[in-house]
Amino acid sequence: MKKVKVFAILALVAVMVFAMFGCSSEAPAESSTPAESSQTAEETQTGSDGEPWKIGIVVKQMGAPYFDYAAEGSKKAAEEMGAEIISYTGPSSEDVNQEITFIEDLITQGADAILVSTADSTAIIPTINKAIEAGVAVFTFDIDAPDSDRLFCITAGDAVESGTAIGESIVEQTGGEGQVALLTGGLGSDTLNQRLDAIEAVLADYPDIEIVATEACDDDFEKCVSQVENLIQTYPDIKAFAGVSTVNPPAAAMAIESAGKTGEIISLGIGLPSQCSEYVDSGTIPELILWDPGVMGYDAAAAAINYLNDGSLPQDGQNFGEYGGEIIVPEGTTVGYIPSIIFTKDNIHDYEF
Amino acid sequence: MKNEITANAKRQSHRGFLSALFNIPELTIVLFIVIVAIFIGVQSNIFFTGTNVLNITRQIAVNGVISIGMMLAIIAKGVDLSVGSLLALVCAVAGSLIQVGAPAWLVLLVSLGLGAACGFLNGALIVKLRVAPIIVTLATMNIFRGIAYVYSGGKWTTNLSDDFLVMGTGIVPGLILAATVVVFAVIMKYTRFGRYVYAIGSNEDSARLAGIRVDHTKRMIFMCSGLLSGLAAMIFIGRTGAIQPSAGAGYEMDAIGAAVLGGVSFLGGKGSVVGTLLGAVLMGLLMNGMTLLKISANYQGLITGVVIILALLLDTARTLYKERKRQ
Repeated sequence: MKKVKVFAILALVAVMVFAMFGCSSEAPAESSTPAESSQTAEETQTGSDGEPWKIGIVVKQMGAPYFDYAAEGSKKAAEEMGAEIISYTGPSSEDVNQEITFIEDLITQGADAILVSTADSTAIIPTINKAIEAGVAVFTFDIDAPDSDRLFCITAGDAVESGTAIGESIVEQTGGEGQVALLTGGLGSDTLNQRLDAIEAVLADYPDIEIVATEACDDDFEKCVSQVENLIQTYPDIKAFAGVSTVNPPAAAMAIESAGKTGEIISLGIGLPSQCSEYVDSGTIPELILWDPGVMGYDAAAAAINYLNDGSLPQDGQNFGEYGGEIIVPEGTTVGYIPSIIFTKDNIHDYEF
Repeated sequence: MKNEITANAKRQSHRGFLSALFNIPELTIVLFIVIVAIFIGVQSNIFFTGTNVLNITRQIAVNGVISIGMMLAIIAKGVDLSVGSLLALVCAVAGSLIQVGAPAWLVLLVSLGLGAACGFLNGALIVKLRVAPIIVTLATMNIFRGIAYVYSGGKWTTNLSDDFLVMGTGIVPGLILAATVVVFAVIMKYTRFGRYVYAIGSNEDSARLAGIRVDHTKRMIFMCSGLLSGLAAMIFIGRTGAIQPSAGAGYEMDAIGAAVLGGVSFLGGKGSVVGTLLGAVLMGLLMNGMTLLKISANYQGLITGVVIILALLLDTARTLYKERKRQ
């Protein structure tokens, strides 16, 4: 009887452990063979023969709306620029080993360019380098693999740009006057601090806006709710909260609504549409700053096609048209940031990430 | 002569009252809360308003409920590091139920049941593997959090109906905390289980020799801790209106902090429900007060730490005074 119990407990633990680690099984053996790469080398020529460039997209997780929008954007760019998206694949749950297999398949299929959003920036390096050696132009997007030989990364969330956008949003929504409190995820985050600085830089030109406090919640949703409750008590005339971490705007909105201040105080900042839509609908969050993954996919594909056409990489301030916008490339880097956009009641339900 | 006697008696009863007062372990924390409250109240006229007091009760509810489970574990010379992760796991499961349209009462029952089951697993592992609770719960802390992420796919559940927000609104969180405190205060004082917990913490071997079912009691202790994490998860959901697998990170530390501030000893066998509640109250007051006093976020961690040290110093002073008296 006792033994049965012990066994049952051990079995339970084993199940739990497997549930956790089961996904990350052994890495597949190196499958690169000389035959494959020579075949690829031949096929990379097809693009210049007048056939459209073949581009493959590999994301870290299929079924995530975020990447579906990105793929849509890439398809749009490919249509406009005369290229073809030959595949859009990824593992059903984040798994770098499957990503590696997908990239190897694309090399074999003779893709001219591959756009990758990796689940593991380190484990993917040899595979990216192998693709580059085989003559495939590899671009990363969203999540970078900076230590690989990838040509360029198109991503989002440049701290200064997004902070400036939040600052402008505060000015517009408050009419340039009143008390404002800033909310951040953690005091130790470089990105978040740069965003805060950028907001303060914008607000410095508006003497009638007073930043009364800056609170850090350690990305704890409940702590943020508590802090906003306390701030509403401390500053009865406060007009707006602005958050630089995605947890802040919905938490502030929750506290504002449960304090019965809907319509009197607003919540602004960076947030995910899916996590904020109810508050955007109720008006507590009049607008939200974030980037559109579709633009990211568009710009990544456009950058890849430009490279295939003339070997050029994106430059700072390069314009990718009305949809793609102007990208920011910090000096001396091979990373391009897409501009933020504003989500409002009118467009937030178009996005499900 | 008579006057002298009565004066003496008076002095003695006075002294008796004082030393009796010094014998109350919660004295220092009460004193400290009064000092902190007056300090904040003098500088901020908002502090003693009804809304603010109500806010504080809501803000301490989650930590308070978890702390009582933590107190049980620490009194029995253990600790439960998995409470924050378990809260996240319960949130994740509750979120999936909410998405398929389960009614609030069912979600509450499942949450409590899941919390208790996971807590029981903690206890069973500790008893069967004969490993220190800190190790077992460190492992399950990672396991529970991992399952929460895998189960939810990292996604949030939002747009909850008002039924689920009730437990986090108005006076409800405070009432739940109060009820929990009363129930566990009675359990600790008047039931066999309560006395066993203290006995195991004081000396496990003697407890075993005295015929106490040590293993059974330990499983029950961790089951209670898990149950309370499940309850706290429901308050958390009500307060945040959002369900996230990252919820509750670091809550085990807040709970340990509240318990220790309230006089629960890591050496085991010592501590009370009321003291633990007061510890949670002090931590809540600090957080609330620092915002009211407009203290910069950069200093808040520093000040919290210093106040905790001061509170513990005061308690040490009380103990020393008591011992000197005895000599």
